[in-house]
Amino acid sequence: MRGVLILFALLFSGCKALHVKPWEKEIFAREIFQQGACSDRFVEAQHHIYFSKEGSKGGEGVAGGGCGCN
Amino acid sequence: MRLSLFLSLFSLFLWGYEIGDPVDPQIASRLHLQKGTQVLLFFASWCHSCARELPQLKDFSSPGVELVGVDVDEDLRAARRFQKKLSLPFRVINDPQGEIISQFNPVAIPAIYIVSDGVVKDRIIGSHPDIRALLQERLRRIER
Repeated sequence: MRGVLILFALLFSGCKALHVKPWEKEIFAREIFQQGACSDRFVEAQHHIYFSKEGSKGGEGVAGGGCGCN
Repeated sequence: MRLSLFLSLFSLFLWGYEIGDPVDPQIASRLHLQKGTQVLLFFASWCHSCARELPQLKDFSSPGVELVGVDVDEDLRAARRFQKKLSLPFRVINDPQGEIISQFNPVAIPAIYIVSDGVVKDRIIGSHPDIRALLQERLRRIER
């Protein structure tokens, strides 16, 4: 029982180390960490999925009726 | 054993200053807090909301209130460049190790703390479209 508790305590302390505070996000704020920063194709694909799923006409282009075929 | 487990679970959430908490004397001396009211502005050069909000506070003035900036940039050169670019008229303290901000422990930046006679009186977390009016209102509320 004691061993299990110690194991859980160690696991929880591991989670604590992963927590990044708001003032420690300097590196994450860099452009390279933005979604699709490395590839325009990725952004295109994201938009395609978004517009197809939402079936909406957004401010970034024209989408179809939700079938994902355009 | 139970107590130690309870404490270890709760140490995951290290709380910062709440309203009514006194500021640690060491932190107060680093911030050169005097008697009266100080408005602490926590910001960083990489924080886009801070860059949008800070110019609004450049010419902010309220009787008996001092603005104090706390730049939490790890890179001191970037911090100085940012401060120079904005030409902030109030004094700014650099906190590259995060010693000051970790005591306050805000959930986001920009963060504003209103400290009166060494006690946290109010806080504004995150960016607001009209921060001047909001800050003025909060200061008025404290005066009452």
